[in-house]
Amino acid sequence: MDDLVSEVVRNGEAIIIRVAGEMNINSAPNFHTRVLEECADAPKHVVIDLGGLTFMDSTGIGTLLEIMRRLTRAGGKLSLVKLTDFITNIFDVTKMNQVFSIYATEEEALAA
Amino acid sequence: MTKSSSSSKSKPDRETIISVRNLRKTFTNSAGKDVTVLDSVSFDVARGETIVIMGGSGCGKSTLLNCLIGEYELDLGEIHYQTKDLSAPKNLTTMSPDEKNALRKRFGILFQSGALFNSLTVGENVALPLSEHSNVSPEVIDMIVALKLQLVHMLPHRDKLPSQLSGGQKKRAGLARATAMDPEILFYDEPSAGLDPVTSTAIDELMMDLSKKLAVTSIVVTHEMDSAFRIADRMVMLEKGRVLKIGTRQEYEVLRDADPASLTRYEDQLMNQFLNGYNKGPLTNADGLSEFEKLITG
Repeated sequence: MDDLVSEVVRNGEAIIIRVAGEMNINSAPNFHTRVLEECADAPKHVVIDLGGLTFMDSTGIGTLLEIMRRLTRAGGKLSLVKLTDFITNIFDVTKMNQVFSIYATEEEALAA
Repeated sequence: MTKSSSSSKSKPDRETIISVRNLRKTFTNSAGKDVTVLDSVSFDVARGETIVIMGGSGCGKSTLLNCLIGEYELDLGEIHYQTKDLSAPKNLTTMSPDEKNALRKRFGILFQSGALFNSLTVGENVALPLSEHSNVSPEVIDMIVALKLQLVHMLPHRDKLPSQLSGGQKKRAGLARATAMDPEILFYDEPSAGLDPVTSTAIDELMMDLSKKLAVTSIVVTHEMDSAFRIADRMVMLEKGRVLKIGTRQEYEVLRDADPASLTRYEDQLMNQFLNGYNKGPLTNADGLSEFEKLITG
């Protein structure tokens, strides 16, 4: 099974999840389960580093939206960082750039 | 005199995603006689382009669409697909059922009526392909449905039943469902049929918007000329089951705008009549109308 998560770093009340590969209909369900496991202790802030992603389809976007909804309901927040040109374009056309909190670097996201 | 070529731009510049070669489809009529509906049909479709297949009623365009999606077996010819999951072009006619099913998952199809399930809400209709063909959780599907409905401006109608929608809204909901699985190729069967001109224009704009946003290849079967000229990159004209012309929209515009009297080729006269909807010309002559007129006028 595809595992998109390449690294998980805990930083105080925040978790940084770095991903790499293609976030698609095959890999997104496993990614979703893994992120929910990592967030079992209800972190205040989850930062997902998308710098290593080469592709994302609607399932990927839906998965990120669902994670954000879950975190928000639990009083936490989701930030996305290091969007590639490909992902930036997808977020622009689907207007997801207006939905997600997006930062250039992990440091900027953690400081926000 | 207007110059027109019957074979110009038959091969697109970009990477070919569909290649149709020498397609023939025959049906047996009620009298037991074989009727050839499509014959020697060949054309290529480039990745990302919108190609319109047009022609009068009974010209074979809907049959061609059904052949392209693998619904009808061919009597002769080949249809090669080069979708992103394939390392080399693959012939639809020799694919195993599993391969055909895998290919069809790369398709989105908007049927004439929208073909929504009446007992399901709009949201449930859009969710159906994902819940049937993926392991994605219901919570994530919920988000994808919202995303797809928002793209076609139908999010406020998510919980409505199809019977509560207008014709245009049904088409938009059908479009959201057709794009649920992020198709590489979208097939549209008469997307403007039964719609008023304003709604028809709105659907055309939505189709163009989606093509651009999702970078999909679109195959549109229609006989609505206003719509065809709005959306097409290239156009294929069918007449009596054969390809009359493959050309760019601009080439067809030249043909449409030509003075019929300036056209010397029979095919050009025929297409000029069809594109303009004239009631006089080779199309109606072929149906015997002129002879009838001569008869009654002496």
